[in-house]
Amino acid sequence: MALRMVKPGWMPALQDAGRKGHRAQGMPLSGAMDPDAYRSANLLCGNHPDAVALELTLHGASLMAEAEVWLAHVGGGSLLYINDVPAPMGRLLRVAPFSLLTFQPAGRGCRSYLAMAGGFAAQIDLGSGSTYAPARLGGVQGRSLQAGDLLTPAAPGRVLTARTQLSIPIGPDGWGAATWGMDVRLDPATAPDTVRVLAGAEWEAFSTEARQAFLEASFRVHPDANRMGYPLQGPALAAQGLGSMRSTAVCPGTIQVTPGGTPFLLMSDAQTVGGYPRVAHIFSADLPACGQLRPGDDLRFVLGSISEAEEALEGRQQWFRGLEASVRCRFDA
Amino acid sequence: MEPWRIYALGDRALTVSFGDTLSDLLSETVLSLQQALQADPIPGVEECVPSYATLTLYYDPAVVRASLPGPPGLSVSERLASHLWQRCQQPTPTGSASSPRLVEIPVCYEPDFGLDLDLVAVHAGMTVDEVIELHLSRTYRVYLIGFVPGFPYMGVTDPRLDIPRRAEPRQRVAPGSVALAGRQTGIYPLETPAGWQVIGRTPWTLFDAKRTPACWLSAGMEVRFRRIGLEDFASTSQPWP
Repeated sequence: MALRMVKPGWMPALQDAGRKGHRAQGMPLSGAMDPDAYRSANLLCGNHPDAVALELTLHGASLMAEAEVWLAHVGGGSLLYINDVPAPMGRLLRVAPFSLLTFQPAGRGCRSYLAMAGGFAAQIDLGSGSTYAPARLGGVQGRSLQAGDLLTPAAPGRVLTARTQLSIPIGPDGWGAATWGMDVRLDPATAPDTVRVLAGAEWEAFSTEARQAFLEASFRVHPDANRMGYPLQGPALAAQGLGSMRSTAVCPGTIQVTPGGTPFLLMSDAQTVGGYPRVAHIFSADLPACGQLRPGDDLRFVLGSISEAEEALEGRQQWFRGLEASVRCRFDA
Repeated sequence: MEPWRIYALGDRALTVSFGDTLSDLLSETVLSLQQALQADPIPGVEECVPSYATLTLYYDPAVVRASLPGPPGLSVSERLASHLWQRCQQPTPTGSASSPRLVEIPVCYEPDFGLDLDLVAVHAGMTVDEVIELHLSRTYRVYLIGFVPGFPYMGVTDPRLDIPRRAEPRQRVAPGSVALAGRQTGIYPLETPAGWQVIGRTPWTLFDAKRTPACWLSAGMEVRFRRIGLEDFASTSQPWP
C-alpha cells in the first residue's frame, strides 16, 4: 500500500499534531495548520486523530496509488479528482492500484489533508513526524515532498468491518467512496470572515484609535503568508510607550504588531518568543479555520471573553467527539 | 523588585511576569518557579517556557478544568491563575540548588566568519581586536532559548559593544555564527535568516535532534568564549551534556 508523489504542487509536507513539549528549547510547535480538518481526515480512515497526514497547500499536487489504498481528503484549497473524476470530500475512499490522484483548484480555503489508513510513515524527531524544514525535522528527511517520493503507511491500520468493506466497492473509475462520513455543512474547512479574539497582553498599550481600528477594520492576508504566520494589511496600529520590549512568549494564534504597525498573525511554525507587542490572541476554537486563509482573503476581529473562548473550544471538542463516535462503529476494534 | 503579575496568553496559556528588565535575579526567579512546577506539577500544564523575566505555562483547559475545582462562573484561565498566584506566594528556593554550569565555547573570529566585525569596530570606535577582547572578557548568562531551536539569548555584553540589529537581516547565515545585538550575544544554531551582527563562528553544534537533550545549552547556564584560529576550527571536539 503506497502513494508516489508525481507532482508536488506547492510545498506538500507530512504533518501531525505538532512537536509538543520542546518550546523551552526554542522548538516551534509545528503540526497541521488546520488541526480540525487534519484530525477529521484521520478519523475517517480509522486512524488515531494525531496520526501523520499529508498537508497540501492550495492545488497542483498529484499522486499515484501504487497499490490499493484507503484515503480520506478533508480541507480547503483543492478538490480531489481520482482518474479525472471528482471524489467526495469527508468520505473514506477506496482507491485501486495505478489510480492517479490530482488536486484541482477550489473556490475557498487554503489547506487540505490527505489521510491514509494506518497513517503515513515519517521520520520521527522529538516525538513528532511534523515536517519542520529549518531544522530538517520530521516528514521525509525533514523537507517538503518532491516528485518521486514514496509514501507508505506507518502501521497496518484498523480493519474495516466486513459489512463496511462490502459497502465500498471499487467502481468503474477505479475508486469507491463510503456513503457515510462528515456532514459537509459542518465542514470546518472554510476560511472565516470573522474570528473571535481575546485582548492581548499589550492591548492597553495601543491607543483607543488603534484598538478601534483593529476591531472595526478589515485586514487582508498578505502574499508573504506562510506556515510561520500571516502579515495582515490594513490600518497601521501604533503601540505607545513600550520602547523595546524584552522577548517573551508568543504562540500560534498570537497577533503581534511590528514597529511599522503591521499586525502579524502567528501560525503553526511560529517562533517561541517575540519582542513585539501582542494586541490579541485568536480563540483556540477559531484558529483551525485561520489555517484556511489564503493571501488576499479578508478578515475581521471581534473581541470576546475568556469564558466564551473556553466554551467555544469545548464546543469544538464536542463536535469532534461526535464525529469520532459516528465513525468508530465502521471499524473493527 | 518590580511588581509581578499573571496574564493570559490566549485561552491555553498563562504568563507569570516578574518584570521587564535584564537581570540575573529575575532570571533566577523565573527558573526557580519553573523548577518548582517541575517538582510539583499542576495536572494539565503541558509546558513551562522561560524567558528573561517571564515564565509561560501552556495547558490543556479540559484537564485543568477537571483537576482544579473552582467556583462556578470562574473560567479555567482564572482558576489556574489563582492557583499559580497562591503557588508563587510560597517561598521558593532562591537560586538553583547547584551553581550554574559554566561552559566554554570556542569561537573563530577570522574575517570569513566575523562578517560584521569591521562594522562593530567602527560603531564602537575601536579596533577589531579590541572588540574581540571585550567579547571574550565576560561570562555570559543564558537567559532563554528561543527564536529557532537551540538559539541562546545571552548577556550582558560590555556597554561598548551595544549595537543595534542590522537594518536588513541577512537571508542566511552559517550554523554556529556568533552575533551581537543590543547588550546581548547569541549563536545561530541553524542556517536561518539573521538580524544580529555576526562577529565569529563556533565549530560546535548547538542543536541536534538525534541527541538527548537536543539542545546543548539551556536557560540558567553560563558561557565563556575562547578564541581559536582557523587551524583549530575543524579539530576541536565538543562535549555533550
